[in-house]
Amino acid sequence: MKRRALLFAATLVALYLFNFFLPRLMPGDPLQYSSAVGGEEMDAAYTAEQLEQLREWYGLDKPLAQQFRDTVSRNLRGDWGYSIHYHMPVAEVLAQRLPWTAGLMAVSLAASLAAGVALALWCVRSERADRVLPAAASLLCETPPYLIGLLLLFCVAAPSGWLPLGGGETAFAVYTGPVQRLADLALHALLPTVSLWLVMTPGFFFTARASCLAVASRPYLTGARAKGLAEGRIRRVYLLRNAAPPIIARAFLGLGQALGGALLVENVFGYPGVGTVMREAVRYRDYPMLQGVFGLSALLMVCSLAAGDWINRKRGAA
Amino acid sequence: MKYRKRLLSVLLALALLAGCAAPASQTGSLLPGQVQTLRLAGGTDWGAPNPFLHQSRGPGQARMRLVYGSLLEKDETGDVGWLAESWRQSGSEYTFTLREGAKFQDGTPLTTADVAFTIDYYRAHPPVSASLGAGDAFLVESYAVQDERTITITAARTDADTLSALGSFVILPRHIWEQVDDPYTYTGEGYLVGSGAYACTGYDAATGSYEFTAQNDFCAGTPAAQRVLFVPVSDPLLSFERGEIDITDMPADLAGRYRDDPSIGLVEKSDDMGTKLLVNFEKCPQLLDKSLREALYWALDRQAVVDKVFRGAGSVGSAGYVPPSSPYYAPGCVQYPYRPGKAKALLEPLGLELTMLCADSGDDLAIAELLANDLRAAGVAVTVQAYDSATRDQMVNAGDYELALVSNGGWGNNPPDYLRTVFSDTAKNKGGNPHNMGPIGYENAAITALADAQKAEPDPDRRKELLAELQVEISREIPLVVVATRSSYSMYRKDVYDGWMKTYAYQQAEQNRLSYMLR
Amino acid sequence: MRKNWPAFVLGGMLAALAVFFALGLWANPRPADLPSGDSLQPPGAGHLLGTDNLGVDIYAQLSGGFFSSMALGLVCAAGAFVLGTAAGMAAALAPGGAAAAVDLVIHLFLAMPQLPVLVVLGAFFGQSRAVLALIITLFSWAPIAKQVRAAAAAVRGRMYVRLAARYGGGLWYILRAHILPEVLGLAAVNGLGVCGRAILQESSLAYLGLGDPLARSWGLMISKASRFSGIYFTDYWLWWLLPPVLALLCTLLCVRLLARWLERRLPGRATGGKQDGAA
Repeated sequence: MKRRALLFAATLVALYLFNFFLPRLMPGDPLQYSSAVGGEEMDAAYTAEQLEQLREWYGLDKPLAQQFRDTVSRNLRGDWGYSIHYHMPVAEVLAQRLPWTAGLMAVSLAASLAAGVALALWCVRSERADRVLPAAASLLCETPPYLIGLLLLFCVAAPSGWLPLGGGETAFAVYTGPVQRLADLALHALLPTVSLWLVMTPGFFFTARASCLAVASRPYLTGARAKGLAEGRIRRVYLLRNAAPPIIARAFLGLGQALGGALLVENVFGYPGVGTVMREAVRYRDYPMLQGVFGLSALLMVCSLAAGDWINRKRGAA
Repeated sequence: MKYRKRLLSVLLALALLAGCAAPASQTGSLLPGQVQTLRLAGGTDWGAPNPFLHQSRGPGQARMRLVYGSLLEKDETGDVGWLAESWRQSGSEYTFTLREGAKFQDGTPLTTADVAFTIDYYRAHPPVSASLGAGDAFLVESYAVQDERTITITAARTDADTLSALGSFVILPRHIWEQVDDPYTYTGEGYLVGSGAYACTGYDAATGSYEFTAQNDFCAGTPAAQRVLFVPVSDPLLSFERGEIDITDMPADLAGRYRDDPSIGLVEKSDDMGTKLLVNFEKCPQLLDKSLREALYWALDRQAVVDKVFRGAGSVGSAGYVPPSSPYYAPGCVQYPYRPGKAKALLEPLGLELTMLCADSGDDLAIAELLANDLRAAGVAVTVQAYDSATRDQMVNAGDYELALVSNGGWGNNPPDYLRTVFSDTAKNKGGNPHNMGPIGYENAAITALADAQKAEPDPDRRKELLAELQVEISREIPLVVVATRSSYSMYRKDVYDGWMKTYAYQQAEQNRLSYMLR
Repeated sequence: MRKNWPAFVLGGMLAALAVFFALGLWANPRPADLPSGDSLQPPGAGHLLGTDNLGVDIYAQLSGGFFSSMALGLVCAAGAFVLGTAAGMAAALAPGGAAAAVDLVIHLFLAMPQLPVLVVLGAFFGQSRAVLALIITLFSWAPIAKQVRAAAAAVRGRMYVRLAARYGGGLWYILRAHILPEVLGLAAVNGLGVCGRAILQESSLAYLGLGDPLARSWGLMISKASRFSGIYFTDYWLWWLLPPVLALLCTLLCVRLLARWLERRLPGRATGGKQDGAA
């Protein structure tokens, strides 16, 4: 147990170092971004004198080792640094956007878990379903998330007339009550969530199906049937309870996929969230922001990996 | 079936509820001619609209300038008063008189003390868009406050653009900023209190939405809309079609769809995006031979770039750099038509091998591929190297290329002082923006003299002549290859609002303050 | 063998796709990387599937995309197979310290959120196809290694293997005779899965503008077409956007179903589907 904990701690430290040095080794300068995108030019390049002052202000003029020491001591004090691109503390940027992504991921993760398990149980029950569903899930599994998103945007949202075309909420709406605000949020989150849900369901389906089939062949189920227990009860109590651990472990391991998918889906729907920050932080070489956002996702991944590992181990021990 | 029905009814209920939540129309009193709400595409965070926190590119700056006022503004033909009602120049002394009733958005009167404070404050803490310059290059030598409404500013150097620069820095409220030591992180009390025609009443970084509310008692004019909103969209065209935004870019391929629609108006940004091919002469000294640079021009089918990449909206670049639709364009520039045979005869015997650096985004890559094909056909072995913009920028700035394709906007800006920052040996390759990079390893005294002289020339007509001479010289000497310039169109719903304009200096209707004023 | 019909069908479909695209590359007079006509010509006599905005033949591009996608997928699959098997075996069989080190590396790659890191690495190392293959491989071997490690550890713990060790069977003997045969199949099937995922990932990266910008890959075609502003208000999407999408989906589905079918044929995996994690 101690060895495992050490393993995950070492993973975290390695990722931290990686997060610090990789962006700084990348070509590009956080203070010199310019773009050829039309309509964005107003000739506001920093002058040489300005660049010098800014570099000093952000501590980018110091040697790398010094920057590393500063960053570590700052991070240990709980200070994530100040974003160069967003002109805001990194922690604040993340705090503003995390709820969007977390909500999207949580809802779609829960929904795809439920759908995956339900479909798997159906497969256990019905031969015919078992012939069709795996193939259908395979097809879905191989459709890139952004394509699903684009399809939903142009074939569902655009013709519908009432589904929002993007964003996380109606901007500057005046709500008459919390219910309306919730409804507005839910309506905007609908298509992004559905895209992500469609992307993630097959993974859960396959895991749940394998696990259920494995459990279904165990002798105690035959015993339960012999006792004359209702089929529904057998499925709920015996089958699901015994088949659950690998599915739950899969849910934790699926977080990485959910994060990657969220990045793509946010991009399609103009949905606020961490995905945009990741892309912009890379594009603008915003070192503190890069470190913050990738540090956070690494932390999330390591934690979920550890949780999945723990469940698997417990199952092995039992 | 039953489930599906239930699901549908839940969704419909959601839609209805959310429908009720759509922005309630505000009951603020509309002035005659004023529009209730203008909606524009947002969704990207351009920073908090204050001089220290906005992002350096156009949209960030434009949002800030809605909130903050400067001494002067530009209209279709020239400089006009904004917070200043009048100004005069004698030598290097510029005297501005503020308008009566000028005040900040918290009600505090705006006086010359604020102007003086702002100058000192910017000297110590340059804002993102530092029109006054920074460090040793600071433009203001000294100032003298005459009275509450009159201030005389002495410029460190006087040239044709000094007045514009002095007129365009935005004024800070002294009573707020005098207590702030670090403006780059300040988001406390009053950090968005400006002196412009609109107050920022809503800003959400995460969703990239902005709300600006009209200041109906603004001293220099009447805001055209009660509210200006930047709302998040996924696909601007879809949102425009649905009436969620009132102005957006029109794709060239859809011109037929919108041009004949009487309810839709267009603002043309003619030849505002330009693409040029930079040569690093230190790495390819063969090209110092002028006849080979002429051959480069002949080798390139630049009309194909306009037709295929720009979808016909644009023009083949003038070899004199300033685009043909500009009022400063010099018709006397040397023309280099597409002569592949002639180019091949000159280039093929040399067996040149070159790399062409370009960005992997936008249209750059497509242009690079077309040009590379043309050059290969002329017997030059070209390898295209595409990098993401930040990497490309650094390589261009470091001169780490043989040929580099650079696209940027602002070619329609007037007067075309960019000729100086790109071509003058005294001004080029400084600052570190690839757009201002000129030829490396190439010097030309005649071009430098003309470029510097136009900047110092106070008489506009004489300046225009100098700029024309300069273009002809550039087209003859070919320090770099001008590929093509692109035009684009903003389309808007006339029935919603019809006041979109472009200034003599700058063509982006959505980014000009006067587009949001009743005139 | 009647039971093998899915393999024949899927293999046949892949072969048909390969032939179709081979024809597009070699029997089609239009080049895949040079403009050969006016821009955005609809499908017709000169250009069977039309042209894109630069006037490049779509059929030729699509064909080039098939082979480069397949090559990328296979290279990544092979790399992930070799790396994953080696690392998994090492983690299961090597002495304490070394196994822990390998375990750390496996977990490091499992814990890195893939897409974001691909974004950073792509920007850092440049965006050539070779680098892309390398990066995708680096992010595909860890799950295989984890499964191989679990399987190898399980086999090693079985009675007859322990007995063989007791009778003086060396590590190499046990590896060859008992562990490898069981593990290789598992790794191979997972490797084939990587092939499909690599193609998918390449297209996702291309959509985000992080693929090899000069390649004629399907992802890049989709990305360019879907970014072409106003494409949905014109007919262009019919021949510019739809074909690469369909080609991508078809190919991925075939590869995926083939992998699933093989997986079910593995000894001791009668239930099909994959179980995550070590037991």
